[in-house]
Amino acid sequence: MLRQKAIADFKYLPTKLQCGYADKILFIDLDKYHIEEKHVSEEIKSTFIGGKGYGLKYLWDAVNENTKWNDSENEIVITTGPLSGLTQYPGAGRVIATTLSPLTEIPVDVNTGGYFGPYLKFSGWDGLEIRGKSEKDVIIFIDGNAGRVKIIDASLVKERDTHILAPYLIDKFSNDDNDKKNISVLSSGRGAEHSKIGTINFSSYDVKHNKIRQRQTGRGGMGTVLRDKHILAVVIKYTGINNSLNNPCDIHKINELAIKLHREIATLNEDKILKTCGTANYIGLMNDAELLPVKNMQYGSNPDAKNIDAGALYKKYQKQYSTDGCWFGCSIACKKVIDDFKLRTGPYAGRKVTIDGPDYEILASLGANCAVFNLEAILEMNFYCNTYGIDSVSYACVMAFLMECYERGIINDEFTGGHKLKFGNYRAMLSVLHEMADGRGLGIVAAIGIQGIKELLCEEYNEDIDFLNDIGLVQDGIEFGSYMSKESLAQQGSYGITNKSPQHDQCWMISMDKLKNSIPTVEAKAQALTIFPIFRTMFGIVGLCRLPWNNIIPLHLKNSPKHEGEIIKEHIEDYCLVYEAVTGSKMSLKEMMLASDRISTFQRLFNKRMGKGTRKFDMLPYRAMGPVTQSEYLSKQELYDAQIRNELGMSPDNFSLDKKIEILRDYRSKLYEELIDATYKIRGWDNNGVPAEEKIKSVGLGEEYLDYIKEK
Amino acid sequence: MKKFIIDNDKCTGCNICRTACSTTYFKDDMPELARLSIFKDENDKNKIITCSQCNICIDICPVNALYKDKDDVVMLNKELCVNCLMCVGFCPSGMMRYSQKSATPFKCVLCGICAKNCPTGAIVIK
Repeated sequence: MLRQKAIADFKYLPTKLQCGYADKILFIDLDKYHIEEKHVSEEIKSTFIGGKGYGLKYLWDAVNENTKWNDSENEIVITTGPLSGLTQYPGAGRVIATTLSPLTEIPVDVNTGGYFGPYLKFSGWDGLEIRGKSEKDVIIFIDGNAGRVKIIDASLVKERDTHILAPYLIDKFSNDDNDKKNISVLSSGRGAEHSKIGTINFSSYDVKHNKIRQRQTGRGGMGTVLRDKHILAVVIKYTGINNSLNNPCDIHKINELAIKLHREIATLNEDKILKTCGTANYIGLMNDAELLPVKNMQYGSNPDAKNIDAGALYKKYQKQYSTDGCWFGCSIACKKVIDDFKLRTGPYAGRKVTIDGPDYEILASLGANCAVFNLEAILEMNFYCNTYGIDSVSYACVMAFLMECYERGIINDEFTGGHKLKFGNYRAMLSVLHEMADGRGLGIVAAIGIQGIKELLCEEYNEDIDFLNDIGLVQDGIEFGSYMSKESLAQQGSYGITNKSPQHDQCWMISMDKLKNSIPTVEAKAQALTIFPIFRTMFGIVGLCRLPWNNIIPLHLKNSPKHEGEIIKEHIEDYCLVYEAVTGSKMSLKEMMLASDRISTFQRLFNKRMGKGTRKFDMLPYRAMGPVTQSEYLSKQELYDAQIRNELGMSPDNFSLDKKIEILRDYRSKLYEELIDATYKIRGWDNNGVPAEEKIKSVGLGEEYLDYIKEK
Repeated sequence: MKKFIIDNDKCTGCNICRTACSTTYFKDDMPELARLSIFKDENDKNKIITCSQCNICIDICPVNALYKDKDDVVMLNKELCVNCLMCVGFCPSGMMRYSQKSATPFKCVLCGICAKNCPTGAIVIK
């Protein structure tokens, strides 16, 4: 039940966008229940462009070196780029959320889709900046047409879980059924209140299917920060969508480029894999290439993977809708959905629900990596993770780690509270998930993430920290994404040499490195590890999704082997043209890369400012680089023996198994260090991974940032 | 239910149908604005292309702005349209059209102007 009286009520004149920008940020201070409008200066605009750039800059200005994730100063900054909200251009429904992560205490930014970002932009705001912590649960309501922002007391609203809360709020704030599509809700769930791995759900009403559908901010514990601030939800309402609301400088140029991309998506068979199954089709590809994470990334494939691949999913559950985009006009339509799934466990057992996804990362992490080759179990866990506001990838990675610890006798029934945590025991996984949502039992332990569990096992149970460090797939506090990097040096770099821990948002090298073998040398890998993170940063700055870029092939290249290249030049040129058509500013690829490099460098500096962002934080657990145990070595003995023979010039037959593991470990560790050296050099960072003075100047960051590269 | 009866053998490629269409809806004699088109096939014969009412655009529309009327003709509700242009990109015959002169995509509504003006009877609507 919502109270009618607002705690704070702010009226504003909605700004008509100019060339993709409102040049205003909505600032809310929950300590004082104060709302105000901030003007975006020309300097910030030209330096940070938008989206991720704005998110990092406003967060930088809000915090200091000592700020912790649960301090009032920490903010959740939700921003859009100048292209966010174009209805006609595929992949433009993007919003970027930025905060100091509870898992890492450094900035984490997430680029996700849905109606929220475009509605925020059309309401006259390039971003929403929330600081402070409310004393009681509140809902922030933004009416973009009326020009009204309210903070509403939500302490009497009992619902927490998104699949109940979002429909309730959409009903509450809409005038009638036709009005539902004009509302988007940002919320989390009970799980985020009791864990560090909370996620935020962006919910919108899909008028085509009469369903509420969600996208998540995924990694980094952003939902935990949301609930720590006692924000139950942010509700935004905007009516009157069309393709000119960004008020672009040349709408017809955008329309022509948009139709061209829609045609490419419509007519290419290769891309219909995405349309039919989303990214789930990678399960088969990765399993065949032995790159699928299995049993806490001990192994790279499993014959039962066919039970959870795209074919199995599509055959049993997934409907093929043509309109599965997360925003109007995204014809990529990767946002798959499963209707009328009957739950078997937990507080909603017996109910039929709609489940968004699952995509590759979900199937690989909740499925293969925990040896759960049962679609129903994965779907149920996926549903509950989402509605509880728990990052399903981190949760799965934690469970895989606990399962390996259990099978190796590191933890026992007493530790687990009686859960038989053997690989494949999805019933136990679901029980722990429900416990996490309630803040009880083993759920309390799982909720602190692998880093916390390792420390607990070492300090309280005197366990071997070196072994736990080897097998705990976590870096800087965030659990790994779902690609097996063990046999791909470049993917190791993708996870390790990154600004926000081991997730493939910034770099995804496994295909180039292992499936296509197009970057064979350390130098080539380092080059790719420089170019791609910078290039991929661009999408988050301007407000686009990256999927159309290299998953879609221009019509005239359809039958050309050239399209095998990861960068499809024509699409990049088109992005430059769309950017120019929206903003009126010409931007070459070189200039776009420089702008992205500026933001990427700024993020690295931000990490340094918060006490990380140096070489030692780029190191990986050895499980991500090579075989830790005998069984792992034996599972690929031929491959590992060959590496010792061919690359080290030694005869593996002369060594014991343990010695071979040791030799391989030394060699692979050195290779990774070489890769770091080569990448730092190309990126213009010093040997400690800190951007050099020349680098900071060359990307156009001011002298005020030079202080942060000094050792303290 | 209304539909086109096309006899390509009778088409001389005079483009009077397209002129009539564009003049009616855009007050402009520009065949590229017409809601039907004529092209030469591999045997250099004229071929008239019209909307086949195939449903693909209805399926792809994210806001239910496209629907079939009582005559089974695909129609666009401009009030619901968000101008995403997916229907234009996905139309297999290219008959969901886009022009700078129109705020929303447009298509043939089987009004019969083209048939009435066709001098050879190549286009008939029944």
